Formats: sequence, C-alpha cells, structure tokens
Amino acid sequence: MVEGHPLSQLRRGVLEYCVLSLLAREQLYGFELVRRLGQVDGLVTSEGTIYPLLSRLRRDGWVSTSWVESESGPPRRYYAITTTGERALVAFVEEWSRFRDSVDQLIKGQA
Amino acid sequence: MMTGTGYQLIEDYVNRLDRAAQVLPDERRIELLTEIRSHIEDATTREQIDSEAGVRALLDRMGPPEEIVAAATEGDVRIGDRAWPAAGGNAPVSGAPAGTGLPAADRRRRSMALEVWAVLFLTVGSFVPPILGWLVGVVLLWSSDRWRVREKLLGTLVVPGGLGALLLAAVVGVGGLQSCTTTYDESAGGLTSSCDGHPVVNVVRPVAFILIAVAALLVPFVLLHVARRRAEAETAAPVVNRAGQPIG
Repeated sequence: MVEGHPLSQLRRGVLEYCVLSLLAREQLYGFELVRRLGQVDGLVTSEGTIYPLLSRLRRDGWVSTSWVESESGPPRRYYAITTTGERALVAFVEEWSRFRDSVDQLIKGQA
Repeated sequence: MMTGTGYQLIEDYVNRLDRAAQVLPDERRIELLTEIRSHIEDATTREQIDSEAGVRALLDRMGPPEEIVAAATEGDVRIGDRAWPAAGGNAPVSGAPAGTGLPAADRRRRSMALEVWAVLFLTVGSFVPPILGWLVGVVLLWSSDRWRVREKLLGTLVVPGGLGALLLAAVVGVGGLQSCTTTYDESAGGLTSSCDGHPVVNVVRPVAFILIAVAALLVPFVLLHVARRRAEAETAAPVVNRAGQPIG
C-alpha cells in the first residue's frame, strides 16, 4: 500500500502545521515560506507541492491571503494565519508533544 | 542575464504544469500557476540563477508538475499514498478509493431501501391499503436511523393518514366548511353565488388547505433528500478530507 519514503505519510500530515507555525510568527509570501521550510532538513522534498497545501489551508480558513506591492516585479500574495488556524496549531502542538514522547519512549525501549 | 535555454526550460515546465492542472477547477489552476510562476521568478532573482544548470536545479527542487497537481487533488480526496500514476492523464478527480468503492455503494443501496419504502407507504400506501399502509409507513419511518426525531415527527404529522386522508379532507372539508349557495336572480343579471361565514374565514380556509396540501406533498421529497444526503455522507466519510469538500 504505502510506497516511497517511510516518513512520507507522516511528513505530509505534519507539514501543514509547520507552515502554520511559520506563519504564526509573521506573514510570508510563497517563496520566502518555502525557503524557510527548506532550511529544515528532510521536511520538503518537492517545493512546488507547498502551493497546493497553502491553497487548501486558505480554503479551509486556516490561512488568509492578501496582495502586497513589491519593489521589484508584480505584487506578491502574502499568507497570514487566521484565528481558526491559530486554534488548530495550538491543538496540534499539544497533541504532537504527547505523540512524539510516546513514540520516543517505545523506540528507546523505555516503555 | 538568463540564457534563452533557461527561459525555455521554465516555459516548458509551466506549460507542463498547466496541462497537468487541467483536472483542477479554473480558479485553482490559475492560482497554482500564478504562485509557481512567481516562485520561480523570485528564486531566479534572489538566488541570481542565470545558467541553464541553475534553472534545471531550481525546477528539480520544485518537483515534477504532475506531483504538484497530485498534491492539489489529494488535498480533497485522500486515496492512499499514491493517488494515481504520476504521468496518468485520466486521473480520477473525486473517485472513491479503489477496493472500497463497491461495498460502500452496496451499503448505501441497502440502507436507502428502508427509507424509500417508508416514504412509499406513507404516501401511496395510504390509498392501498387505506390505513394499514400508512401505519406500516410510520413504523418504517421511525425505525430508520437516517432521520432525526424532528423529521420523523414531520413525516408522521404533516402527512396524517397520508395523501389519501388529505384527499378525503379535500372532498369533505372544503365542501363542508364552506357552504355556498348559487341562486338564479334575474334582477341581478343571472347566476349569483353567496357563501356563509365571515369573509376572512372564507379566505383563510382554502389558503390553509393549500398550505397543508403543499406541505404534505413536499415532506416526502424532503425526507428522501435528507436520507440520501446522510447515506452519502456516511459512505463518503472515509475518503473526504476534514473540510468535507469534493473537488470543484
């Protein structure tokens, strides 16, 4: 059933929260957001796939967008987190810590 | 300055993406193309990419256009790790997951049978056999888990005795409630009609009757619609994402 990298499914599920946590600090435009995600090892394999993700987050109301003029070239679409997005992020962070600890505990055989 | 080959590579890439993105609704296809284009422009400017090798590396980092489009469709319908062959042109857009589609459809057909019979007995069944048919309909109505109590009450009360009873009420009710007499009067220029009772009541009665009749005719359709929607939601639940939106 599951092909490819062993973490591909997990990575896909977690990526949107990584995007949300970056946007929780400041609003960013696509390239800048992708660049920051790319600085973290092993998170994004195909950078282009971030854009469908952003589009879905926008349609789900977790992220809002606005056009901002740039000094060079055409205006850019900036992404910002919404209140709904913030709530989802807070809930995830809590769950994630628990999840990560449980997995670590089992892997290290300390259970 | 970027070389001609570099530009050509970018154009080819965007065109390939455009072709792959035909499965997306227009608005989303345009949004995706705009964002990818603007990303490439930003990257070439900020990272001062001007060689052919540089452009190739950039496009490589972006990933195959088909993979990007797959990410866009998987966002709506999760159908496993690989949605469809990356190069496949006949990608299913909102299909059920392979292997679970058929049993799910069967389940829906079975469960909808109860609701269809319930509505049939409530409506047609009230003519033949007159009261028994309607009673069977009520029992079926209340034994379905596709309807809430509110809707079950509506089905029971708004179609009291079914359409048959309503027809009976039409014959007895309107005729009986409003007694009109027609007289022949030469001085008044022929036939005249006069009805008993307060004029307002005379207006209210037929209006109320029409409203009840319309409601009684509408309720069966509403019940079926609601049941179908719930049955579909049930079978669709495992494949639709948290937004519950089918693509498009």
